[in-house]
Amino acid sequence: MPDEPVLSLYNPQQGQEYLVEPDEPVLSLSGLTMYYGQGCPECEGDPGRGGDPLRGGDPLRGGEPERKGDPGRGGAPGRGGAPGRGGAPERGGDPERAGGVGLEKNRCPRCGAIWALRGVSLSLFPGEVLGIVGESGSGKSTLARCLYFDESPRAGTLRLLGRPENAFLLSRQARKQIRRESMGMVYQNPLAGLKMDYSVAANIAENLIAANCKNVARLKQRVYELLEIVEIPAYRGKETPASFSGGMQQRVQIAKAIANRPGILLLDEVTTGLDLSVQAKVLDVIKKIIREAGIAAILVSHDLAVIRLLADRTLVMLDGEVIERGLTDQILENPRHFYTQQLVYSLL
Amino acid sequence: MNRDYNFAYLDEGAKKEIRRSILKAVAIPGYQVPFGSRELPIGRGWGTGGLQITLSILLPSDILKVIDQGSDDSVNAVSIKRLIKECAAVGVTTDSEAATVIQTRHRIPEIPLRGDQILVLQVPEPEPLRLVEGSDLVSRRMHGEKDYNLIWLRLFEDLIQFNEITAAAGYPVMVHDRYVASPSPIPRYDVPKLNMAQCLYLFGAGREKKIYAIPPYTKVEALSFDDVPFQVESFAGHACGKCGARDVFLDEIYDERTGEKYYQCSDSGYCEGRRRGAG
Amino acid sequence: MAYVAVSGGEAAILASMDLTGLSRRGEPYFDPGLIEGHLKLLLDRVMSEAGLYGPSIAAAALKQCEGSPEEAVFLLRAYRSTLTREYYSRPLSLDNMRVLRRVSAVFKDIPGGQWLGPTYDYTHRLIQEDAPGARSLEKWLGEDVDPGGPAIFPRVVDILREQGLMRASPDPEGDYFDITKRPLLFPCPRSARLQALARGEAGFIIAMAYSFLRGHTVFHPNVGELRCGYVELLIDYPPERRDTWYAGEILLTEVDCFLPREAAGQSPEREKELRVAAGYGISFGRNETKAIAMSILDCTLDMPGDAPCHDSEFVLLSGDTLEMNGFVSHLKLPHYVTFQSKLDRVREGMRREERRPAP
Repeated sequence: MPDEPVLSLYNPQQGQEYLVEPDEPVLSLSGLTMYYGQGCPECEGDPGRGGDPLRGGDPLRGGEPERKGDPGRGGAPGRGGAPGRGGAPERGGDPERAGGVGLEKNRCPRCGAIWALRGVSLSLFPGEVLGIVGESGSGKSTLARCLYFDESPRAGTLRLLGRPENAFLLSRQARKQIRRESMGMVYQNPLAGLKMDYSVAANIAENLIAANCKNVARLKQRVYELLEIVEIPAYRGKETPASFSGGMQQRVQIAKAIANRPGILLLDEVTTGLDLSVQAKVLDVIKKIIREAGIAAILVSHDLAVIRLLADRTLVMLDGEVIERGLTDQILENPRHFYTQQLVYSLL
Repeated sequence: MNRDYNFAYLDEGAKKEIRRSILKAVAIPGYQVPFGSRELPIGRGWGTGGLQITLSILLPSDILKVIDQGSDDSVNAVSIKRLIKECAAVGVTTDSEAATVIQTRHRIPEIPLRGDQILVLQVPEPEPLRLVEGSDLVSRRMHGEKDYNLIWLRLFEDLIQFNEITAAAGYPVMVHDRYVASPSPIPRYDVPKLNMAQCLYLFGAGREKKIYAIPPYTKVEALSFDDVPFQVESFAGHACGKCGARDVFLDEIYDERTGEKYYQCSDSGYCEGRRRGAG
Repeated sequence: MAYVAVSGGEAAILASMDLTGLSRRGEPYFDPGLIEGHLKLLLDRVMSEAGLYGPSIAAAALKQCEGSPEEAVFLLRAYRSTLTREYYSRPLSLDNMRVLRRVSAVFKDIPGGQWLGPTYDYTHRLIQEDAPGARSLEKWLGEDVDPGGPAIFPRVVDILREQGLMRASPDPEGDYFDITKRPLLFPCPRSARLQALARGEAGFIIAMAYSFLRGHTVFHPNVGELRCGYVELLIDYPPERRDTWYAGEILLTEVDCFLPREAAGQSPEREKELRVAAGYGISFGRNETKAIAMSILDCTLDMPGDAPCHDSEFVLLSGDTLEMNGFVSHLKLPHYVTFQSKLDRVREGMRREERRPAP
């Protein structure tokens, strides 16, 4: 919880919101650019937009040879998808990835590269929830994945938690460290965020163990604390997430994400596909956590209702760009961009 | 057919290459050095890795002991000893204090080894992370980044499900605070012998084509949580039926005629020595 | 005698070996040359998996182990370990193969023609005690028959390449990986992959290729060309003087298989293009099915997918005759110390359960 309220200045001529915040942002991103394929940024006619692929190194997700779809697991295969979710969870696929229908307009006609993000910038301040809304193909999930180092962007600067260096350029080890200690991520697909062949308790403890806690009693204590926060009965800690309903799996992910008390929480379409009543429960838990822990969060969703419920500020994305940003209330009340207007008016 | 084998079977080129791999392994304790493993007249999975190491380091002045499951008389040990004797005229012994090179499968002798002795261990699966990760590429990356979280997670999972760690023989150890290694399928009972030993431990995996080492006076710790101490096998209340020893690893045996259960020293050389000493 | 005897293990082994000797002695005595003459295909398989071309040695090995391919390959590989390696031959000029058999399934007729050669493909599998071999031999020897056909057969792949239907293959790497000297680490170069496949156990290689065919009726590969024949072995000796020695001929089967599939575009539009991709298979002797299977795997290992046939680590590491047989059979070795350790854990668990207060 920030000690002072967020101040905002509205400049009608520029059509943008300016935020003045006495504190430092926990996360500051500029010029995030991502495209797939052998794109030549010059095709765009704007050398400032493209850029050389970062030399930062491999994304942290994947690295298994020739195996797609299976989220980084060895050993026994997971036991299938979550019951209670609408439709089968996508295995490694995502409509925003190359070849998806929504991206045809993002294709460079000359070099065939598919643009997912064009020079996206944002800042995240302590204790606030930043919503990112857009339809499939807008780039919002790619954005979340880049922030969590699951993908390596082509260009962009990311400054985290007061550190001066560009986090995208750090070594794999350093990025893994940051990820484990300072960030928590909840994926839309629980298969991506949880290991189905381990118990719920082990899943939640994963980042705690990685942060070098080797005391079993303390680990168990923290796990049961977290289970209570996300309202899962303690006796179910021994079971694997495969036997849980979709909503419960998301709550396990949430427990895992906040286990290490990270400064930043990333929520990528966490309630998409869940029944409305189940969604409500998950959102309640998130609300409670954010309020009590004062954690800063980025909430990605295509559902404006979810954004309205949780986000303080919102970015609207279309075709890989931020087309509007501001306080959630103000955007809802007074959407300026045509696309935003459509979104808002379609909100029931 | 060519029956004039080089001393210790392998040609000098192969020996040189294997020795270089051994030196690299000794220089990086616990790190698995890939090497060009040769095919030998005994089967893959039957000790070709350990055998290649032994054959590469043997000198005519060495005295060799070969054990399997602790016993000099085990079929596998006898078979290997015969092959080595056929192509290298070295002395052999069953006394672990008299040997200079000991090749072993699945056990470390009871009497601590000295600085002038080398223990060569046969390893079926050198990769301790195979328990949790099937891909070699990913495991190597994990070693490179010192990212052993998955193995810790597996141990934690055991504690959640069974309230104790179920990993039995071949318990993963942290060598020199850097690499997690498999001590080969020795019982947990033998794991403490690896820590700060005087002798050199060499590990050979022929089928998987890896060599690794624990040099003398190296810190070796079994992976264990702070508040769950590492447990070794318990033989409480039992003693060796032949020599009466109590503080050693015992074999559980069922008499072939009476079906009765009895215990015996796994380290046959040690047992023999005690009986000789007793009179 | 106990298996891991308190004493007398050596005596037990010697007695066991005597019994083995008894088993392999059958009546009447026969010369290994009979194997070379009558069991050629078994010989070919064993040489292929051992990676050692030596028909008389292979025949002796097969005789020594009662005809077990598993044991014979073992003997040959162990034997090869004792041989010093003096030279590398020149890359084989397979274009100059002295062709025995050459067929293509992709075109009805091809430049140079379809030559059926010796094959079991058209025989009817009826067991006949008196196989009609001898008669044909006399017939061939008696007449003065012109074998026909060109001296050198053009390749079907070249037809496709000339028409742009298939991309030219990339230049081979300068340094060839030798899997008998270096362990396979992944990702591995293509020369390593091909060697591992060529030496792979026949059943495994064929089964992996089969798994692909069963699962992917959309991507059905075709045998573009299969050739079987003799190829010259030339050695540059000594290296400085560039003299070339002719070391002899070896019998090989090679297969090109074709598979239309998407490839990364090279045109300015950088679209994905549909081209014919080719896979390569080769084997000592007349191991046709294995060579075809190898060529299929050469394609599938480049394709993305979850199935095992697309996983290089799985295919290249699980298929070696010695490793698979050795490791599976090593389970017969004593494991009682490790087993004791596991029993200890189970007993500990049982003790814990007993101590737990009854609900």
